[in-house]
Amino acid sequence: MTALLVDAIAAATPLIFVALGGLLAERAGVMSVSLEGYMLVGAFAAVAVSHTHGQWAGLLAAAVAGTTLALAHAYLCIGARLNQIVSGLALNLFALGITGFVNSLVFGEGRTGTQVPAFSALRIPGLADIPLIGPALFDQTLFTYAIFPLLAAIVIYLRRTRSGLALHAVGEHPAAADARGIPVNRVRYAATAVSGLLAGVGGAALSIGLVSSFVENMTQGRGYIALAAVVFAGWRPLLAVAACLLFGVADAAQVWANVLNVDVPFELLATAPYVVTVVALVILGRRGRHPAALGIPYVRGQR
Amino acid sequence: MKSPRRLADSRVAAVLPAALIALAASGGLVALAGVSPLDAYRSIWSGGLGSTSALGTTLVMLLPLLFAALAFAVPFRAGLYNIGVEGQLYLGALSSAVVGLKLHAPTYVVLPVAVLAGMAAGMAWAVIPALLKVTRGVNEIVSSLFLNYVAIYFTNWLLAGPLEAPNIGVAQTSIIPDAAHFPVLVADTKITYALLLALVVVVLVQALFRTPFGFDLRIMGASGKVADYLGIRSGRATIVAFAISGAIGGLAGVCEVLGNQFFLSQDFSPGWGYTGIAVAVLGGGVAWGIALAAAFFGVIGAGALQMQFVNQLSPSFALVVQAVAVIVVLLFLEWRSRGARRAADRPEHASPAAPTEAVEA
Repeated sequence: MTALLVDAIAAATPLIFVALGGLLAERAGVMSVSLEGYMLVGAFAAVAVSHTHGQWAGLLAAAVAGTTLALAHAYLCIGARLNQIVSGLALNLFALGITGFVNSLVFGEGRTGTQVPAFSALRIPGLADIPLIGPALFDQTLFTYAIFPLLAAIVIYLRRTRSGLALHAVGEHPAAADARGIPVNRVRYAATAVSGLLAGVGGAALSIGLVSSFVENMTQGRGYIALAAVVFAGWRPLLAVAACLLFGVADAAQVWANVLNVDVPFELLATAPYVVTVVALVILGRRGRHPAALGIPYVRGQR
Repeated sequence: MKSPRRLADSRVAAVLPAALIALAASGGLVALAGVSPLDAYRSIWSGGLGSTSALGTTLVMLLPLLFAALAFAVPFRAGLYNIGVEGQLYLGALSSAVVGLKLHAPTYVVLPVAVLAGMAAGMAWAVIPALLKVTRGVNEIVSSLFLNYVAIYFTNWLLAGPLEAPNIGVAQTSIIPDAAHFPVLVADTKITYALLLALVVVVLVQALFRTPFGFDLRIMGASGKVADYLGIRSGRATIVAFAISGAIGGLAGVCEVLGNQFFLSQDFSPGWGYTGIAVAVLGGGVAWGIALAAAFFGVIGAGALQMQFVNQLSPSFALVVQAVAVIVVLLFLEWRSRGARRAADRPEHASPAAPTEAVEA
């Protein structure tokens, strides 16, 4: 049980970074289908740079790579006003291609990735000895520990700061925000950039946290799962983290059912979080409301 | 003011320059890898177009993409997103494989039954998100995306258990008997009658867009309110559009399994359902534009395999070229329609820009 929890939280950690990033951009009204792409370039950049300069440089590279791709998304959505879902999907395709291509240049064509320096679990003495939850919460990588302050900061930011309220206004009613003197597009650019930064770090949490190598398409749709967690949570940060934990538990349960040879077909078990999410959406129905201006570019004087 | 028809044509006309720009830009990537871009282009030519066998490879590679893109395009007309084509093609492949394996009869019986079974499975799976949207207001993007995972894991489960071929040790079905295969169309190539089926679907989708139903979809895409005022039954149209979409999506899997691979394995699709969205967009959402865009994706895909063989470059190169082409096309079209809107806003023709947006949506 304890081991299962340890694995579940480890698996949820990258997702949480990506989901929190996506949440910020979506709250500002920018659709974040491209989270998958940010995460993937982050995961690759982390490994490529960690290989030569160590894991801290890798982490920085992941943040830069995610932010860069996010700025491209921001330009396409806000500047060029393209269809945000389609341009997001195109960027994901681009990320998949470019990471696969550069990966084969840097590390050669290999089924298994090259091992690089990575962040290992950092046991916090004392706290890690608490029964049941101790190891799950206090014998993890730095990424997991970073979630607590990050989550607190985002909750406080969204609820208590002027800038957080501005972000909310921009996503709900950009014309009103504009009238109040809030620079709508600048806020959206910034929120998208931060979402790329966090998703890039989420990629690093996967490639140089959970494991220590990169393989082609290693995110395998985790960006989409993170996005779904945000939708599932109704764009609320605490619930989004909870949803990511649910996916983490399902992920870990799969692996454990396999290892322990439990007579549950793990493929069917793996569908559980998806089925649960769809059922939850059905129950929520129309009450699961998204930011009013989500996906709609803002042009002054146009409704 | 341009008529929607001409605007649709100009979207298709944008595909070719965008493809060339993407190829040129991606040449830099090849140079980065220490290979002369000209050598790479030569490989793409010889691998994708240059010979009968190259053409055969291209046509085989583009088929699932073409079906997937057409599937996406139908609800997209109405501004609806079927992101679930991937799951629909898995279930289509699964059903047709099961029919092919279990039904022992001559080709003219097995093949149609297998094709219909695949279409029915895709259709049933696609109708779920449509029903959830219409009855409960569930966002179809999320639900259809999620149903993909359910479909894929379900298929994987069957392939690892009940359907697993004996004594191979790999999670896949046995080879499907010849009777269920699409007959070869061009001797000495892998081109089968599946290609003809695809052409029929292209024509049907184009025809569908010209029916009153197709026009309703377009109005729904332009403005839900207008559709309501006109008395269009949006709920019903949504379900029908997804049903058609799912049936076509199922065909993507059917044609791959019965026309190319002849067995079903875990993870048999490299994400055609998702790439198909890019193809649909590149093709401007118009059936024959999509056929053109799929041809481009096929040539680049087959060419990238040749590049891997000759120039030792990763075939991921194809994805970069394809993605850049899509983004260039989108930018180009947005830039154009903005120009058109600006012209429409001038006082002498103060007509609303609705038709332009109808095509865009």
